[in-house]
Formats: sequence, C-alpha cells, structure tokens
Amino acid sequence: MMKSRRHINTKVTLVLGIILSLTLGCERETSENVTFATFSNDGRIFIDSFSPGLEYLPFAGSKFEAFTVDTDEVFQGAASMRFDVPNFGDPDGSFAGAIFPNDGRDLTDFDALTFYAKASVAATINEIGYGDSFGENRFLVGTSNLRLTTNWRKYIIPIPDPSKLTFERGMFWYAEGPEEGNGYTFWIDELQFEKLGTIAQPNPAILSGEDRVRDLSAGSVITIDGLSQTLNLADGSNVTLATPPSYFNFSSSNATVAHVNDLGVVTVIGSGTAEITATIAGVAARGSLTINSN
Amino acid sequence: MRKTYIKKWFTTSVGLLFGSLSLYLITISCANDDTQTVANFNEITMQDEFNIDGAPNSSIWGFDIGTGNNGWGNQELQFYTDRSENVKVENGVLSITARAENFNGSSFTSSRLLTRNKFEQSYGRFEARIKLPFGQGIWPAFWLLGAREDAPWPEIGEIDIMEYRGQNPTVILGSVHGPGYSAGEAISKSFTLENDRFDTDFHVFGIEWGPNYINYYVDDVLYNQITSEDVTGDWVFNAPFYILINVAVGGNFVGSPNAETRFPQTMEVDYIRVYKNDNL
Repeated sequence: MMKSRRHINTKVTLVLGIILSLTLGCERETSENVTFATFSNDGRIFIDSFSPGLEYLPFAGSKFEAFTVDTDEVFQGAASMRFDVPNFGDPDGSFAGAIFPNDGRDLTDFDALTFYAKASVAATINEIGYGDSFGENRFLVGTSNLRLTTNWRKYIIPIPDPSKLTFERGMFWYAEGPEEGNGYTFWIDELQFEKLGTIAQPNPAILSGEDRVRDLSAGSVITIDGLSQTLNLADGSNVTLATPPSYFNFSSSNATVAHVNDLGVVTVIGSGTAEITATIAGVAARGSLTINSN
Repeated sequence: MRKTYIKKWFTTSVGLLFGSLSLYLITISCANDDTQTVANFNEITMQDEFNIDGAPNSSIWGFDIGTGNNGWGNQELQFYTDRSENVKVENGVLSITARAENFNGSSFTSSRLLTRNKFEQSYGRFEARIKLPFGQGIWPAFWLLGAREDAPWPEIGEIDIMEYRGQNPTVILGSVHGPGYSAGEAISKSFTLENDRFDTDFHVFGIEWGPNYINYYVDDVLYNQITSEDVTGDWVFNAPFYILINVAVGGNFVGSPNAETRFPQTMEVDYIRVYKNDNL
C-alpha cells in the first residue's frame, strides 16, 4: 500500500491534472484497498494570520504568553508571528516553546518548511521544525541551533522524504531558552511548506554512517540509531537532519537470523549472519549492522 | 531540437505508464506552445549520441592526459586519464567521472575529451544535453578552443558554452576569453534555473555562433548574446574551433573540494550535436 501511494505522488508531481485521472484509473486496478488522501494540501501555516484549523499549544513549563501576532514588525504583508523569550528566572516560564498542530494535512507535494525570521539580538534557536503534534510524532524533524540575525532572512528546513507526509498534524514547533540568561524577541513570517524544487542529492545514514559488526545471541534486541538524512540546497549547503526511523525502510538480509521492524528495532531469532540495512525513498543509507549469531 | 527533447523527457519519465496515444497527444500539445527561437540552424555536421557502449568514438574524440602545466593553467587538482574508471559510454550516455584516488602524484582523477584535429568548425550551433554532478570543488565544462596553432591562449580564443561550480547547483556560466579579456576578465554571464537544479536531470546547453556574435541558451531560454562590440580586445572567433568536455576538480575557479564533497561525481552527456550556420 505504501508503494502504491508513493507511486501516485511521483506522477502527480510530474504531470498535469489531465493525467491524474488516468493515473488514478490505472492505480485502482492494482489494489482495491488503496484509499486516496482527501486531506488539505494547503502548505500555508502563517502568512498574515493563522491558516484554517491551526492551533497553538505551548509546552508545559514554557511561558504561555510567549507567542503573539505582531502587526508592526513584518517581513511582508500585514502581520508576523512574534515570540518573546523570557529572561532567566521568569516566574511565567523558563523558556518559550509551543507546537502549532492542525487536523491533518497532506504535505507530500512539498519539499521543505520555509520561513523568514529575525531577532532583536543575534541569537540561536535551540530547536525548530515540524512534525510535533503531541502524538506519535513519527515524522518529527527539528533543526538544532538555528542562528538568527537582526535582519530578515529566509530559512529552509527540508523534508527527509515528503512522500511519507500523507497525513501530518504537526505543522510547526519550536523551543528556545534565554541567551546567556537574557530574554529577547524573535519574529517569524511567511511560514509555510513549499515545493522549492532545489532540494536534492539525498544522502541518508544509519549508525552514523558506520558499518558495524556485533556478536549477538538469539533473543537479543538492539535498536538502530544514528539516523539522519542529508540534503543539498540551492546555495550548495548540505543540511543534515536527525531523522526518525519512520522515514526509513529497514531490511534484514536473512530473516531467519534477525528481523527488523518499522522503528529500526532488531530482534535476533536464529543462528547465522544477517546484515541490517535501510533506505529512504529508495536511496540506500550509509551504514549497516552485521549480526553474527550462534 | 525542442520537440525531440520534450518527447524524450516524457518517454523516459512517464511514457511506459500511459498508452502511446495519450503520450502523443501530450507531446504535440506541449510542442505547439513552444516558441523555437533559440535555435535556428538545423543541418547537422557532427553528432555523437553515445549509443555504442565502451570507449568514446576515437574518430571524434581524443584525450588530454595528465596534469598539464600548473593544473591545466588553473591549479586544477585532477590527473586526467582515458581509463574506463574515468570515461565510458554506457546506456546511451557518455559518463565522465571524477574520483578521489591517489594516481601519479595527484589526489583525484577525471577525464577531458577533445575533438582537436578530428572535428573543427567555424560558426554554427554547438549543443549538448547534460546532467551535471554537484559538490564543492567540482568543475565541469563544455567548451571550445580556437584550432589555430600559431598563437598561445588566450589569443586563440575560448568559448565556454557551459561552466558550472558544483557548489552552485542552480547556476551555469557562458563566457568568451580572448586577448585582453581572459580568465577573471572574461566576458561572461550566468544563468540560474528557477525551482530546479542542474544535477537532478538533463538540460540542453548550446550556442548559436556566426560572424561577430555568439548566442547562448539553456533548454529553450536564450539568455545572452555576446558580439564583437562587447569584447574589450580583438574578436578572435571568426575561425575554426574544436570541442572540449571535461570534469575538473579544484582549481582557482571553484576552490578545492572539502570534506562534504561526495566522490565519485559523474557528468552524464546524452548527446553532443553540431550544426552548420546555414545563414552563411
């Protein structure tokens, strides 16, 4: 079913509406179980106001009043999102942080979350990204230590594999504490998912790209970690994202020795040798785990 | 040219998924919308479609081997070879592959093909369909040099149909070099792809060249014309030139590769076609 879905998405990006109907017609013959997403494919989150259905839920322990809509300081249009990071010791909360969920959108046509941002002082946001809805967060992505300047600048957080985001509730999230004890303000504007078309050259990794060998016995359980996706942007920079296992397809070379589930959890079940590898959107990840079991 | 290109794109992308009838309709409807003003010359004088697997056709292509003088004049880091590890024709494309490997004192290998003494022409349309590599310090080019042997560079003239920095995957440059306007003083213009990049699919790079002018295009976009009025020295392009195509590593145009540059890097060339200037 997953394969069928991705198949459709690829073609949708390639051709026009007239072909879509042909495609759907073809696909329907392959499986009667295929269902088609009817969720909103609106990429906008905050342009000049909240997009329909968007909520604001601060993290526990954060300053609940940190977020406001600002009509004075904007990159473009009528309003921006304003975030007031508290000073150290603020009784209202020690940091600013929230998620912006909605009731679920189809983001498969986009390749990045983008926004313009500036800060009252040069600052570094601890975590900022998408995919957090206080749920399973299977596709949560966050960029650590995003550096802001006092001028508006565009920021791009790529999606490791857009075909996975058929129903995503977590539109945006952030968490930021004081800079050396001092609070400050930052603004975000034109927050949206975009199809940039310039994000390419995926280079995923498991086990931090290392080929590891482990001697294990039947019954052992081990989780594949060190998961990342690296993508190259239009400006030539490479962005590496810590990437949850749900973006990967894991496989075992010998299912009688070890199997691996969708979360990268390997269970050794028999004797012999098995190699655990993974892919994202068909691209082989660097790194592997070879298990010798006796 | 444009019709062929669109048809090919659809054939490779989606052709197998739809009946030939719908494909035909799509192709025609797109082609009708095209204003084919970028390329006017249609009489082929040389073409290599790279359809025979193995080494490049030796009746068309020779090689520059080694490191030249001071890294081919640009402090380039690669050692050029004609080995199949660096150059081969396979599955309908010419692949030129830059590798990170110690070879004859260099840290990288690659390949540079040229038609010197095999195919030389004045004027016309020179065109190649290429998928470019990427990464800091990767420097592919499709270019021409003057065939005359009684003068040094830059007096002989150089026409760069496509130059590209691997760290700028959305930008190519078209340039001329001649006496008084070479290297950093070359007459040059860049072209940027919007919402796309040069290392994810094939693009057509070409010039149409006549007495005292050269038109530069990418796909169906004519993005520059350089004439004898634009150069700050003698116009040395009313003469026969030969073709070069290569992937350099490092050098003063791109800087060195860094830890993030992935090797090997391959430039894939679907075809190279040359047409006569039939206005003459």
